[in-house]
Amino acid sequence: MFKYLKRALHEKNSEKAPDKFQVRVSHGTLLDQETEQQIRSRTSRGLLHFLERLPTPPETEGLQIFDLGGLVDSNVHYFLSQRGGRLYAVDLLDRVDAQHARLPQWKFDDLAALRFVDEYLSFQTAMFDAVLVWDVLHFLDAALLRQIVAKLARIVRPGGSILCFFHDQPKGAKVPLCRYTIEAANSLKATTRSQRPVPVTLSNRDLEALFQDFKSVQFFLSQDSLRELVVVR
Amino acid sequence: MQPAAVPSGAQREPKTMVPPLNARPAPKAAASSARNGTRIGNSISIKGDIIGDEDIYLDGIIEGAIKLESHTLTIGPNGNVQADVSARSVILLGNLKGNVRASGHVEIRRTGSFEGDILASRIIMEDGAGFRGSIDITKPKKAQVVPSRNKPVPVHQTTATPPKPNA
Repeated sequence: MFKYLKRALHEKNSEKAPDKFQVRVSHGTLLDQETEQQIRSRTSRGLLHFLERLPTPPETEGLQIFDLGGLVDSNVHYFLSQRGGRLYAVDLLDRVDAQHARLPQWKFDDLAALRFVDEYLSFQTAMFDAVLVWDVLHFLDAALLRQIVAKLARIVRPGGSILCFFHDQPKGAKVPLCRYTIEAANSLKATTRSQRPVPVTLSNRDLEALFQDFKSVQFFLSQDSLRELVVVR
Repeated sequence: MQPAAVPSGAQREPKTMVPPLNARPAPKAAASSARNGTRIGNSISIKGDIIGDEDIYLDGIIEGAIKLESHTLTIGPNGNVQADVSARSVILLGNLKGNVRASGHVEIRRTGSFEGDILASRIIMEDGAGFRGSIDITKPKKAQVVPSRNKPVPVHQTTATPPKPNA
């Protein structure tokens, strides 16, 4: 707990925090007083396996990574400074929310999902060596989820890998939507962006069926009810 | 109307400009770059190429191309730019859609939103910044080793053997 407090104070001091900065620590979770965001560190075996599959310098020439959760400064530096290559990014959920904000009653059917995928995931076949999906897929409607997974099967090169997280909660349960920052090869910092309801229940069997066009799916269970998957094309 | 003559040694008072309604104030740090270069306000709309040899602070609507090879481009919080940019550094507080080529760093602040490809030596992104596109980090070129003229060149001595007489 003291380690969290010390790290938080150091980070805040370097950001020139206001004088009245306070940190509330509860059950190992840091609460940023300014933004009311929960921040927690979590061990991630899925991340470790995902990173182990990536080439290391000097073989990272031409490495192309895609981040569907938007960009986080630390992750940009982790990949580009340490490994090189090119990093693509789109905040997929942000785009979905923008669509719903424009048309509140509108829902993704197959045709709408196809159009969305064509607009935001228009890339060449077998272009990416790795894709970071985080927990984005679990917050998508069924039609959009199917289309995006089908698109990933086309744009990830054979042997390339995808890291994705799925919550263990049933449909309708509210779970935290997090922004994940890589702290180390086996450690992530999860910053809660918002609480969102899970639109669909996905069992392990459902996930295996979802990724049936891929070569393999490896499951890593964690203590915080988050299933980590490393999917290999 | 001619401005009034100002006595030598006295400073002319700056004109007070009233910003349009709903305009967001520029952060002090970013606006400071405007003091050293050119500032394009939020009521200005430009369609065309901007080529310059000084820092530029853009807070208006720009469509075209921007070339500031060895200077800094700052896009203010009200800036809405659709252009390919070539500069030393780019600081984004508003919206930029286009490709960016920077010999220095690209900084996307919390209020900034970017869509396009970035080629830069360093990128800084604040939490909350919008991004859609790709990032390529340019690596510094390795310095080529040039042999010094003063450095003595080793002389290889060989023992010459006399040719054998023909039999």
